[in-house]
Amino acid sequence: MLPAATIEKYEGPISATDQYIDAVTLRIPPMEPLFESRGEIDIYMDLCERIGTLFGDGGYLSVVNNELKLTDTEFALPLDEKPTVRGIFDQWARAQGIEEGIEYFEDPSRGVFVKGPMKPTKVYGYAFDPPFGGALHRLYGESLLDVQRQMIDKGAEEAYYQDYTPFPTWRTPTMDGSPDDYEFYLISYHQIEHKQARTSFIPLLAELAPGARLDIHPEPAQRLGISDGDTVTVESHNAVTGETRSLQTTVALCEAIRPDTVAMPHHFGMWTHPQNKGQGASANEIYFTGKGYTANTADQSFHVKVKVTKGGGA
Amino acid sequence: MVKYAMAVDLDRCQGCRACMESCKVENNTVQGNFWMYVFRFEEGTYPNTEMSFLPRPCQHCDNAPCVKVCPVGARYKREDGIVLTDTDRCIGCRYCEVACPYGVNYFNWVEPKKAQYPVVNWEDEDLATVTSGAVPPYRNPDLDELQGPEQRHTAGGGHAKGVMEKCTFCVHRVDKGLDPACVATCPTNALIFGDTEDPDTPISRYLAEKRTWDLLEDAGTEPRVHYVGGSPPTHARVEIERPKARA
Repeated sequence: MLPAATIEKYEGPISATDQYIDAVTLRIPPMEPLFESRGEIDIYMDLCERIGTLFGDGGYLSVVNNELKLTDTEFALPLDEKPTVRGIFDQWARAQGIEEGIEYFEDPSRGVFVKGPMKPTKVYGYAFDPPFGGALHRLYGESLLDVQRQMIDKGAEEAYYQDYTPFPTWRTPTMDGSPDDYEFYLISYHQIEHKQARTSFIPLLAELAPGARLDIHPEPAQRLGISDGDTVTVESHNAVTGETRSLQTTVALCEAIRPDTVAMPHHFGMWTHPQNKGQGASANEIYFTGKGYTANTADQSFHVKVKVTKGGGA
Repeated sequence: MVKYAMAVDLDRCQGCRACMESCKVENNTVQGNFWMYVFRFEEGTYPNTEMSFLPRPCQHCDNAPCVKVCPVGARYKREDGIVLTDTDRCIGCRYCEVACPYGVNYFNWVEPKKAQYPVVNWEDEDLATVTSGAVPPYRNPDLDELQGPEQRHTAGGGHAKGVMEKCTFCVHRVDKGLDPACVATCPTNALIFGDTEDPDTPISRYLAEKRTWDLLEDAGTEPRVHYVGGSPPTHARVEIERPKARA
């Protein structure tokens, strides 16, 4: 039955409203699922059929009827007959008042079905009588302040409550408490060739963007005796606990980066696939979470200072 | 008579290299060979730095030096302007590589079947654990067909060890009335392809409206790839982010 397809499957209904106009669409598969993969609905139907929960009241098909609001309508799926996925969405489309059914969504010139203007009560709480159905609301910031006060009352350390502020407020970043020899700010970034770490195991993409690197300005690099392509150790420091973490990677000199900052792409190193071993380290290995770094506002999980030394370390 | 050309609008190119990727997928080229190559340049000193991009396919020159030096007539220019390599005839002398001032020729140093995505060994037991043994059908059957009125074996890459291959303007697609894969893929429409003999084609109108320049104009090669926007590269530009093959 497995694995599941990714984009090459039916998915929906998907809201396409813009706060003023109510609209809906479906994801139509651009191609047949690759290799042995299949859409989840096919997988669920086979699975339910195999374990005997596809048909009848309370079965998968009756749940689909409920979810797509087809129950007790002329478009309800029969509970004793296995439909195709396209057929399910065809019934749903007809239930929306679309005469040609799913063909409407298969026409790329249309794709989105506009139902009409949104009702004010669907969007504006004030349009209700009483407003918001009588529920009392408070600003998100008020809740944060309330949490902060509770933490102070319970004797929590400032490091824990300092970022529960009603409005984002500047404070000296935690990382700036690291010793001076951790001279660089480390940022991680997204390469245009890759979507996420998982794309690094696609050989064609890995050919274009093959692995981790540390971008550093030529001026500090020269001072540290580092040349383009050298192996370096990047060590980060936790300004709260004093913990250090390090990784090894290769250097790419970059004139456009600030001389006090170094950067690494984040797609590599966290391999989950046999084909993306050996692409280098992940910057995520040397970031910190926890006290002073992870916060409700002004999160600093990806803010860390590092030092860079030539060579592969101990 | 149809005459094909390509316009590359550098004001539109964002350097994403999707054209390089689509070329590899379409033409099944050997790993490390980039028939379409997008240079990423960096210029200036911090903080006054600029990045620029330069897509460089084969220039399909009207005065092609590679055609002139080919001792066996494997490299030839079609009447429609496309410069091709007959991979059945190529003896691998690499004269074309030396003659070409643009560096667009790629030699198959090893058996293509071995070199194509060597990190993917489809018989690898580890790999089988995540693919259920499925083997993707990479090979496009059109690449094995004889092309054009000459009926020569010119489309696609990865044919044999010891032959020279390069951008074909996706001759197997163009002969069917399609755009080359790079043009079809470009998300910013920075690449425009078509017949320049017909004044009403999009490329003819584009080239008529815009100021254009050619790569290495002084070389007298008369390229059929014309650049719009940007400026010709200088030695002040440093190439960065080279793909694996050119590292």
